Amino acid sequence: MEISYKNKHAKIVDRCVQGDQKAFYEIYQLYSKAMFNICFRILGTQEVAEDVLQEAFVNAFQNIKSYQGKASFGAWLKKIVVNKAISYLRKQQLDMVELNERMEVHDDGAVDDMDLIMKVETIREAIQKLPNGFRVVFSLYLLEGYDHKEIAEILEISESTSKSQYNRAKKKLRDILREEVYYG
Amino acid sequence: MDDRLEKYIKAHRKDMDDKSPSKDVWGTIKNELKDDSKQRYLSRSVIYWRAAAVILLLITSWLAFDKLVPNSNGDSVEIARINPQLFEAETYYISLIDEKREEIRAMSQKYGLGNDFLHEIDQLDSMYAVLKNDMATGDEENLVDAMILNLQLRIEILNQQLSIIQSIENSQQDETIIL
Repeated sequence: MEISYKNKHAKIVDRCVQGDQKAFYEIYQLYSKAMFNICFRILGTQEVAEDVLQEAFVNAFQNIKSYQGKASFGAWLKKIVVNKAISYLRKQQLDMVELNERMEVHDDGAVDDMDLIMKVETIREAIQKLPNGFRVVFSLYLLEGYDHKEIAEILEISESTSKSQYNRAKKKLRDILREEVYYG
Repeated sequence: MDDRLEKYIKAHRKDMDDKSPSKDVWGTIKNELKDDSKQRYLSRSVIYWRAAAVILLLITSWLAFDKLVPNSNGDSVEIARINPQLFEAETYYISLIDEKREEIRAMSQKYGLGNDFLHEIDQLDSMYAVLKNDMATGDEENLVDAMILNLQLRIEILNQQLSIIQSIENSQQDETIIL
């Protein structure tokens, strides 16, 4: 991923720290799409995802002095975006873990029919159909590259819960994909 | 553990990001950043107002001290009779001050900000009482100026404090969002 290079945009970030308005826009241009997709995957609607994206960027710019260059700027920004999105979900009072404990997951049958199913668009849509908790853990782990320890911290759950949530999310995703093919 | 579905998604990671934010989002961000820099300017200007309050206190004490000794009967002065215009101004300003003071008291209680906010106001208030007492003995022009200035300054300080509390209110709402 392009944003994972350390301090790739150090100069623009420096200009932001000095309050250069143009630099803020350049940062926005560079990162808004990736960050928006994170928001969208976690939150599920364009409108809410835009609100949270906007809030996250404002917050990041206001606190840009606290970015110390330890991680890449993209990783720092991403953390803010993810936290804002998760706390939005929380505010909707969806207790993510509990919700998922009740979710039924069918046992995995044949895996080979995945060949039929693997189309990017279908998978994208199927991810959005996952229940909140599954979707969040799944996207953070597989798409955003957080490990289970980090996810556990972000969601305030245990590492083993994160792992089991991820595996169950994957099974559920397969179920959804199969349904798409056979009944969709 | 890395099964085919995972591998496939990883290989097509870029295509997973198909959504884009609408153009309005940047506009809103830009505006909010502007408001933010205004607020920072505001808190600096509050320091100036506080300094102005202290200077006015000093001037008032000097003026008041001059008159304090001959006028110790303690009766409240009937401003309405001596200076009707001042009376009118006073009535207007005091009602504004009371209103704002009450608002600040309620808000600072709500956010646990303590009583510091009204400290200068109370001081100005008691200086005003002294000035008013002096009205009976004359030297009106200086006194009236000082009194009006006192009233106006109190309103200005209260206004500034209200906006500080409001920005604290806003930032507290923000902070609850950051995990």
